[in-house]
Amino acid sequence: MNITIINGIQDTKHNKYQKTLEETVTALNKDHQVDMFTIDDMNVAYCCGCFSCWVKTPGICIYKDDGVDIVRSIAKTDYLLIVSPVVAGFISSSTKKAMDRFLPTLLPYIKIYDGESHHVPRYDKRSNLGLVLLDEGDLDDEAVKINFDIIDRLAKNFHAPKVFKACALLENIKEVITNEICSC
Amino acid sequence: MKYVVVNGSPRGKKSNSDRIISWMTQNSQEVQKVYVADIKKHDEAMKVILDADRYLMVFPLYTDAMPGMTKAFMEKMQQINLEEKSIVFVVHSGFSEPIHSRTVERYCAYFTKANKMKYLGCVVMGGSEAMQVAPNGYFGKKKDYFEALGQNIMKGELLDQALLQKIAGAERFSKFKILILRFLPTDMYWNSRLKKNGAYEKRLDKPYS
Ligand SMILES: Cc1cc2nc3c(=O)[nH]c(=O)nc-3n(C[C@H](O)[C@H](O)[C@H](O)COP(=O)(O)O)c2cc1C
Repeated sequence: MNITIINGIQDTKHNKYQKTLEETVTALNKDHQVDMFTIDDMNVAYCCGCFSCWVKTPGICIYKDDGVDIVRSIAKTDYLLIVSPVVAGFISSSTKKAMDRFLPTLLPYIKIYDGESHHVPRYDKRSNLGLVLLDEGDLDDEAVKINFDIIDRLAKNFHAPKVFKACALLENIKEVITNEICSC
Repeated sequence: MKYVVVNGSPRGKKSNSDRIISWMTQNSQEVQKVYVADIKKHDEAMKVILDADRYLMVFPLYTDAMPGMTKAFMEKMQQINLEEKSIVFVVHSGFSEPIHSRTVERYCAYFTKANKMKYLGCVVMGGSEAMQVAPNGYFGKKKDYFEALGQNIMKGELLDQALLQKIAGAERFSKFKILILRFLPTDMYWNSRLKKNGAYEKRLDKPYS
């Protein structure tokens, strides 16, 4: 299975997860092909809303930076996993920056799916979507619920057949991610 | 009372957000604007934020939430003391139905509470991408409603619920509307833009498959 991980860790407080995440990827790579993108170590511009990827160079972002590798990976992935700390009650801005760059994987055209407007996907592949929030024991239920609900909406917009959501501590993040991935 | 407007669109001065802001603020002289699109100036903008006590924050829906740079801006805001200051949000989306924006609206309320601010309300409007081509007249009464909500903000009042409802319209499409939509040439807008750029033939390209 092809797996794409967006790693939105952006502050030193969560650096301790980095090593465990890398170990998890190494373990997963025995049976899968994993691309992990640690956004803060990459050169990824914020989407500027120009819609070039829809109306000028279909499928291709105006920015020729590391964001291109993310889109290339997502176009072929079976499982898109977002790993993010909760910053000011919401997924980090680094995570969100990467999410905005998913736009080239959709077409501009809108159709009604389940009674709601959504864009038609550009690629044939339908990938499952997962969210893992890094839990320092300080997450409050309301914030977690909002973040989970956002991922449910994102899953609709990106036509994910299945969506997984979890919180993980440093002690169990490897287990949480492996279980999520094995369950599809 | 100092009033600051935060334009939360990555498109900055050329955004639909700016048009909405112009509707909401036209009668007030003292309005200072900051743009999240000036990413290098976020720290500078925090001085303006700290100095004010009432905010209007307008952003487009990006992948079901606020744009990345708007989130970066809010993370900076969270680091300063915003206690007792009041805030109004406007969330507008490309899709017509308000349902798409309701989850991030909940986050706006959460952010306000977490910072011990006063929440005056959140305006949700769908179908905003049409602003790129449509004249003010196209929005008819909606523009007037936004103006009236702008007055609420000037007076420090809670937003008028009836106006919020009128701007939002139906949460979801009715069965009848869905039927009608099937016969509307909704692809036309995008196709005309593609053709203008000589990219129409490539519209379905899959460059990374
Ligand atoms: C990267 C990106 C993601 C978007 N995601 C959504 C979305 O999830 N739902 C939606 O209704 N509109 C979405 N839009 C459309 C914008 O909300 C819409 O174009 C808006 O009018 C832009 O306003 P602005 O000119 O103030 O930036 C998205 C646009 C971009 C560029």
